Amino acid sequence: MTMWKTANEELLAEQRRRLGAPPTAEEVLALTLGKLSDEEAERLRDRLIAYPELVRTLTAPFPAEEAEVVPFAPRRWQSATAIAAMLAIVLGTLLWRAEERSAAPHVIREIHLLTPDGGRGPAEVAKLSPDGDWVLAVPLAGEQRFEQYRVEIADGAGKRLWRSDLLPQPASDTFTIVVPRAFLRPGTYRVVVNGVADGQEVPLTSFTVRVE
Amino acid sequence: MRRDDERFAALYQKYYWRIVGFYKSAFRLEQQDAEDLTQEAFVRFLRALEEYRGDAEWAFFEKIARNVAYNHIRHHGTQMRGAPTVDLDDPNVHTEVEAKEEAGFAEREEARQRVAWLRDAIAALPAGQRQCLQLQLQGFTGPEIAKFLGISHMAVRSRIRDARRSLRASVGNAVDELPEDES
Repeated sequence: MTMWKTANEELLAEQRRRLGAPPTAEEVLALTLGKLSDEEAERLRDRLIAYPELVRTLTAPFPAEEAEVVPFAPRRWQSATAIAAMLAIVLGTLLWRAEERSAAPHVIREIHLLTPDGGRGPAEVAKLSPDGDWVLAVPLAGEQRFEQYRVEIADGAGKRLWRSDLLPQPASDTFTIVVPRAFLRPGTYRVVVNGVADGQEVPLTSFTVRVE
Repeated sequence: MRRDDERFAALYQKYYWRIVGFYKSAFRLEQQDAEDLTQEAFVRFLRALEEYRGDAEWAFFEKIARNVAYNHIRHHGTQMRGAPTVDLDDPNVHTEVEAKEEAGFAEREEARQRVAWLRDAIAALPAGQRQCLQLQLQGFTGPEIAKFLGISHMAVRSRIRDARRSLRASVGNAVDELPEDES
């Protein structure tokens, strides 16, 4: 550490001793909302400078608001038409896969239309029974659209277990994932949809599933 | 659904994970703490929306989200982002203030006095210059200093330049040892 930084650290320690405890959250909120006089604001900032980790809460880059947010329409992905379209694609895909794998039809017993986490009202966690493979229908919620997406599955501790390739916008606004039974043991998992733009991945929505 | 509720629901759906990411990356919080703070921020925002009469809701939410972080860190404390951590008990760690093992009392005392001299020089600066310089020495960038003090970036650069000029008058060439001015 240079002598100047050491000198500053000593000065900060002295300021903390002289000025006392850092401002309360209420005082700082009043500062950020412009409710203090210039003199009060100046004094408060001087107290804050002695606590750089608290200054950081006011200066760290904050996510910018993006394009206009339209009111959330919860029925957008739940409409009967959207579900029917999605199921048609899923079943069509399954039949194609069945033909690829063997001469005999292959039935997938469970198709789960996932509900995003964090919605208002009671949480809806998809429960996956231990028999057979699963098809997860993962809807794109909200209005924002990206050129590409990635879907991930993580365990309860947040450890990523699987990650898709880059995916284009799905025509039905829904991704379908076929999950072999052997892939997930009993427990709780999270399916996450990320938007991809300029090489950056942005988490968009997550869905909780539980394997019984 | 009331307009406020619709607006809130839209923001919650769209930004929840981004706010979690903000808390994790800016303040090095664990996932659970970040999610707890995000929930708290949105709850406070929803309550405040009933009385909010402006149309800059995102800027309003930002203030609330930052305040939630402030309150958390004020109570729990955290390492300042990017700050070097040094174990002063580690015999392999030396600072410019610590003399070498074989140095005598005189050298250590000289180093201590030099630091005190620089400290007093910083403390004697006019308030605006001192604040900008202290924040810069703590690792904040010019834009961050401007945001915190509520002044322009240009004003920050000007104050730091003035601070260096003032310090040169009091400590002479020692000001050349100040970290590079990257404001």
